Amino acid sequence: MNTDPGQNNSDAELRNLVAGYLDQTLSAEQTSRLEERLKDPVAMDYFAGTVRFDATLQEAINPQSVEWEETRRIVFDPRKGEPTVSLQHHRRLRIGNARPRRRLPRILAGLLTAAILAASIWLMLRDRGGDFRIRNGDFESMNLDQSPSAVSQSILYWQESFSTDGALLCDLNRVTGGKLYAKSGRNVVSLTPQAFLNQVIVNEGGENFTAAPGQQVVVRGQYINQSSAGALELNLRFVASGYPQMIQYDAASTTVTLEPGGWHPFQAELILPENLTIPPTIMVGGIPETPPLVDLEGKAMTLSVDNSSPDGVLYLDDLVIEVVKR
Amino acid sequence: MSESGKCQNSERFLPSPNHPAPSPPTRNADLPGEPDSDRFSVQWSRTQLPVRAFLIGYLSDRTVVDDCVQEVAILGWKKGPVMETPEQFLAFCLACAKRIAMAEVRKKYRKRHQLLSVESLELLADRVATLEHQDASEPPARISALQECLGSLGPDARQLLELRYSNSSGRDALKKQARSTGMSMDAIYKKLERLRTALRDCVTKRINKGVK
Repeated sequence: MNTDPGQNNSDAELRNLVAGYLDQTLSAEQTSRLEERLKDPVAMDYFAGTVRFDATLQEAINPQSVEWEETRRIVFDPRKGEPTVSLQHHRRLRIGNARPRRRLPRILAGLLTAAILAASIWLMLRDRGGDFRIRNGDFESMNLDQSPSAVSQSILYWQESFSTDGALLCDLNRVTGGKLYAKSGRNVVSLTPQAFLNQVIVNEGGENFTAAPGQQVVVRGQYINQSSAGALELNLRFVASGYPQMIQYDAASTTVTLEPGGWHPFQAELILPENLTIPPTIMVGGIPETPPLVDLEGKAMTLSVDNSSPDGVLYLDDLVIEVVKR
Repeated sequence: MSESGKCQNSERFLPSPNHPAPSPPTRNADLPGEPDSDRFSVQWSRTQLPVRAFLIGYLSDRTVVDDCVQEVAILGWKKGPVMETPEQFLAFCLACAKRIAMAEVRKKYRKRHQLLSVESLELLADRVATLEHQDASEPPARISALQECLGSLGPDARQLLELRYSNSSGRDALKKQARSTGMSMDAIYKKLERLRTALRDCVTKRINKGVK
């Protein structure tokens, strides 16, 4: 071993400052003093040698473990003509020890959970059904850790009425090789141009959000826009019929112009008209006759979120809805 | 949004060659397109300690350092020159460690702790890397020597070191120890420093003896 420079440093002040730095006990004044002392190369050498020894102590007393996790995923895909079976392997490296479990936080967490549960029950009894909300708006309901591709076409609670290949659930960090991270958690939804998300809006009791004249709804969320002319279209719709003959009535629509760059928040207001008797907005699938006007009052509303940008993938995270009390 | 994963300028961490090549690995059934796990294990066993030392200079907090070491290991596994020389692998990992540590410093760490200036932190990290390259002893040998020295300590001293270094809640554990023994925290930290100095002397003697 080389003789760590300054190992036998008899400078008590420097020794104390360096030890304090490693033990995280330095005050602001002491930190400034250490900064001053480190201008001396001998002091810097002593500091570097001490840091190295501190690392050795950590590794000697509590070395970090290395774990391998291997999974196999067998995919049977009949969509491409001949049915094919593909076997995918995934190996994940984990280095590190389990964090020590602390009792107090667990007890507090337990008490907090019990309090939240009691409050929830009380609120449920008081206002049966509760507020309308987006389910899985943060897209964390599905864990993609074990997915070799970190991507899934299945987005829990979404695409109940329609789906599109252009909407994918993904672990953003993994699919972008660490360039991008989710706004919260790990997952986001990516939408290619013209791709969409949709969800029937319900409350905790499972009751549908139904159209009422003048009703106001606010949708909030976060996005990363990769288009030069990014636009997000939001609609509240009544889905009269799905595939193959699709008939939909847009009760309220709005478009949000998107900024380029990293994560940005958006907020969109959707206000249902006073007169809810309207013609169909979307008709697909060779419908022989134009469907009649429909009074949407009391009809279940579906939220649709569309990437109406001409190019570029749009990432969405942390979607929430607020139905403004009237 | 943040970035990681690009570990540029690893050449600056390349030393003059003084390490022998790692022992030939015995291959397990590795998956196509994935690095050789045995080779990685050999490389990482020699790299983990220098990387930790490098990161402690920047961050000092055990929890944060542990997370960063893990990030470096994963980058080393996914993108590192696993099949190249130990010096190249270490240089890659140190470049990654620097990038990750600086991101931590910028993002959040500065808000919670007293930190040295970025210039001092960089100088310190560079000096740690240089000392590592100049050190003729292998990291596993240093750890082994230290473990032998630890074995010669009395139970109280050993317990104190374990409280300080064995988990991320070291400070709370030390406070509890101070209360139970009636010592002040200042006295506890002074005792720790004396122990570290004694252990460092012990390791140096053992390594030098081995070298001779």
